[in-house]
Amino acid sequence: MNFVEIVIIGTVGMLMLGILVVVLVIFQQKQVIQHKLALRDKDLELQRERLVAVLQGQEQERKRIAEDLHDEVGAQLSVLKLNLGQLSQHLKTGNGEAERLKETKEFTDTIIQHLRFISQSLHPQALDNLGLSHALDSFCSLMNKNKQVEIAFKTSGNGHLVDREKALNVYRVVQELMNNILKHAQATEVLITYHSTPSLLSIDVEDNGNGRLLDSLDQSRRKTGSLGLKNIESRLNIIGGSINFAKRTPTGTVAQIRVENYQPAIG
Amino acid sequence: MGIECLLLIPFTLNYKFLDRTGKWIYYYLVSSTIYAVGSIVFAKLFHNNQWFSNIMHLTQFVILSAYYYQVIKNSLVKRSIKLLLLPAVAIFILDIFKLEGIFVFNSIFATTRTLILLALGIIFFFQLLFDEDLVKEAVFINTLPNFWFNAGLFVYLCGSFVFSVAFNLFLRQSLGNLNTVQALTFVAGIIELILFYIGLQKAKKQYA
Repeated sequence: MNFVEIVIIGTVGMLMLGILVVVLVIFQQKQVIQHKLALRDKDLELQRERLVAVLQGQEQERKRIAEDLHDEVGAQLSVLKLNLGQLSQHLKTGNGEAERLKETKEFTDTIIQHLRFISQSLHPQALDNLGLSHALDSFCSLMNKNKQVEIAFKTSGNGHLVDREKALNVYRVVQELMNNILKHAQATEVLITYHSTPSLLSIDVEDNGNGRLLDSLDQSRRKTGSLGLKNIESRLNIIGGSINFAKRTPTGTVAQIRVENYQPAIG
Repeated sequence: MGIECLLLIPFTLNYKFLDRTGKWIYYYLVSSTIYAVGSIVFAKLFHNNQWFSNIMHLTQFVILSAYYYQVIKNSLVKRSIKLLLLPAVAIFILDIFKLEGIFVFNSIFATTRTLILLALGIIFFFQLLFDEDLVKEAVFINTLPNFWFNAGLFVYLCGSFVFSVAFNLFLRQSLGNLNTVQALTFVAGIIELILFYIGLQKAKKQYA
């Protein structure tokens, strides 16, 4: 082998080495990133599972409390109301006792109503029995009885069944949105529109308030202790849904909730 | 020379997309074009262009040192790049005036320069490989213009390293025909310019 051949082989060797180094560097970094991404995905999945477990536990506890309130305390209050009714029939004296008894009966009625509201808020029975659309409708009726805000509910294409877990999460999201509207928006009217197609569930919550809901949500996003919006986002994240906030004309805010593939799995 | 001029056109047209480091690569390309044109002109005028070639080697070394000074983050390496300029210039002066001469190819300086730049290229590759920010943000290095610029330089320097070492010896002792080695160096140069062009495309994407 002469000197020229050695130089040629050396040059080819170096050139190949250079190209090899470049290719190796690309692949090595790709592998590192893919490995890290896989780890991150696993971590996120674990966090998601934990969150689902926490939320499920919370829901079970709420259901238990709601049932206890409805079945135990509610039944006892109903008995109390009946007894008061019977007592009023036997009351003979006219020293204002009858009037006081009537007031007590009315007060018991108010307590029963409050109890129903709390029980419904804790666990909407209508959701299990009648489905999401009816549960939201009855939630609006219930809210109308207790608050100054007029809440209307409009629905179309509600013939589609909603998966139980997804329905519960969407219901909680609407509940949380209503809480925010009542706290921050100073609205007098709220309209909840429910619309479903076989593949997409859409719920719009619009209010005619001051439009500060958007700001308050923005602020709560930045605050570490604020859970409202995080709850909304976490719940929607779990069921693969999304929420979008926009300004409503002339005033107020529109929150658009969208959930794809919301129907229960068959089989 | 043709391909350098050709590549200078898209680089000039897209100059605004280049960041500070990309601009050094642009200056390197300009110097390569001057090197190519000057070599032809001086060869025709004086029948010897080696002194010009040696000066251009030093110029390009300074430009590429500035490039690596910008892209490398490690402060110790940065300081070393600055400090290495002095001995490199000293070797250049020694080589051109004492060791090999003005009118011959200065293999000693060319080899030293190539070795230093290869080392800097490897350091930059390592920096990219272990850059936590890139991993955190899941940024693949082949989306970074500087990766492609460095890859181009690295491949070219690898391809021309043996040539730098042996060229003087060939000229002095007429050991044989150098055409194949020169052709291989040209191939390395073409690969370098293709990789530079990819880098330019990535710079445009990044800017957008």
